Amino acid sequence: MKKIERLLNLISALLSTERPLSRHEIRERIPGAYAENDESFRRAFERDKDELRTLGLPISLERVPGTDPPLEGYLIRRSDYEANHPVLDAEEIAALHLASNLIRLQDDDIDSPFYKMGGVLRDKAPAMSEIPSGTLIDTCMHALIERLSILFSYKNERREVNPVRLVFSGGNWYLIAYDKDRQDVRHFRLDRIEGEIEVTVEKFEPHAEVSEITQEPPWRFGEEEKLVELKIDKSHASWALETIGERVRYDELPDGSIILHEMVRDWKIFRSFIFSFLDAAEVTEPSECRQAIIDWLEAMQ
Amino acid sequence: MKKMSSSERIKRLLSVVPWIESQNGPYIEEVASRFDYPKKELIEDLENVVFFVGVYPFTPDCLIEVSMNEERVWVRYADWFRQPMKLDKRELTSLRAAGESLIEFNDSLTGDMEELGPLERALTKLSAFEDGKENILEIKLVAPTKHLLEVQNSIKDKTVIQIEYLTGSRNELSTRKIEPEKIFALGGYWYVDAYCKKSSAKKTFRVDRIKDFKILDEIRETQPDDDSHNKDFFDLDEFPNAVIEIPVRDKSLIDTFPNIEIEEISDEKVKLLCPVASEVWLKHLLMVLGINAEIQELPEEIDGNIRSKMAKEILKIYTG
Repeated sequence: MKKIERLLNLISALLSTERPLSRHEIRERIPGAYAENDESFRRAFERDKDELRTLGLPISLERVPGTDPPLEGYLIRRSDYEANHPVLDAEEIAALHLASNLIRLQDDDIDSPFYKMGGVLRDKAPAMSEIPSGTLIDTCMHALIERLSILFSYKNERREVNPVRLVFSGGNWYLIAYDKDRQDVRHFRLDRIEGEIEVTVEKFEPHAEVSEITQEPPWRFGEEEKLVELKIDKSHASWALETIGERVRYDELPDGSIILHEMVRDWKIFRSFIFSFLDAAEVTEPSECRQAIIDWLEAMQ
Repeated sequence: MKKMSSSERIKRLLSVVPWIESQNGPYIEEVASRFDYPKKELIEDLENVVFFVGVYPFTPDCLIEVSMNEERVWVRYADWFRQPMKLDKRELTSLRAAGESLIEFNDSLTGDMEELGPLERALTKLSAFEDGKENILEIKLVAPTKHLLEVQNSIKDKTVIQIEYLTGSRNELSTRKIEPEKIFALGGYWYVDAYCKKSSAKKTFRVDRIKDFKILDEIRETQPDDDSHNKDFFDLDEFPNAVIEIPVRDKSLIDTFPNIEIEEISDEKVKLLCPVASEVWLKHLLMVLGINAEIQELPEEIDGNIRSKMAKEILKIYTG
């Protein structure tokens, strides 16, 4: 029997049964699928079971009723398996399909949900924004969906947090999470997480209130706060204001130059922003930041 | 289309079988197209696999019945496969995030929600569904910049436009006629791929650097390329490279410089291959990297003392 046929028959057997089936009952119910030899049958069955679980099939392990000593058996409960999502009409599915094509997570299987909804008769649109993804994102998503606490190190400290939401904003991924030691909600930039994220087995209850991440320049996220004043020449003023966006505080000087008042929580990123103006911008306050720029440049001259 | 793996076929068939059963003999062509199932393989899998799937004791009434004619297909007695599989939470999460992101973006771009009726309806339905209630994933597209809507309209209306474009981080404006083909967001900015008449080549422009914008009464020379989305966003080969080595701990300094290729050379150092599109760009990069960066190679036309000269120039404004 071909593998694909065997697996489909296995799914059929597990779906159509009312009570859990023991491994041996399963072999009897799919004649010709598995070997007579118990050991090779056990190995093949385990492999098949793993493969089906990877495909997302919700196989339950339950006690076979009336067995003594108790015997474990398998089944797929219809309530775990069968689609119960709301029925979307063709127009709605097409709109959703377009959205998930335009804005897609890298490596995400964007077609799979649409097959479950009956497929789509539409060409794929090229992505308008391909959102970078990876192991960290996958791990966070898993922890978010299962509501599991996670551990990681950030700024040389071990953090234990309950993830609340993943946000992609301004080209970066942020994790909003409840920090257990600080007893408060914190924003973490995912690319600043050092090493891997460890998912614990500890379940948590969802948190109610979450502050919003708005589209703000990246140097406004971090922990150490400094209010920095940056003088920018007239020639670059409009460009600077457009880059920072709406929520910006600044004074305009008579010669058309401006002084930005920026709350900086990530000095390295802000320094990069300052240097994008080369000699058309000058840090005026505070003196420690001004000195830091001078020292940095003097080393290179 | 590449051959599907057996697990991919199983996954797909679990959706195909209930769908065919729910229809009244759909056209094979349509099934193939809906489920991206190559027609030949679909017919083969229905005839030679699904046909033999059943439940104990595998008497004819316990087997799925598949019948086909030249064009259409029927599936019967697949009671245990009457429904497709549930959408899992991850799928629901991604669908909602993409949809909501598009609505928010479109709203901020045009202030017009009319076109999004079906999308909004779909999202309302999904969010009312128990497993999709929580908003655990949010994708904020880069906020639309000033001329983004005009550029988008130019793609739609196939117009030729004239732009004043700010090159580099200096106020060096140049006037170009371009034929926009596609907009996309990358690393916090909006870009437009367009055919540039000035250089007779396809170029990528940053939309926030378009300072002035005019629709011309001209006919396009090019048609948008269907494969354009498969190509690299930038043609970086046309730029000469600078090679710079930096300590591993400084890697985060180049976060804001996409397009730099990083090569690990030891536990302590990484090598950066930097396509130099303009001198201003290189000066900015060198100032950001600081004294710990070792410049290995510079493009020919660049002054070898570029770093110290630039540092001196900026210092002048601090020391007077």
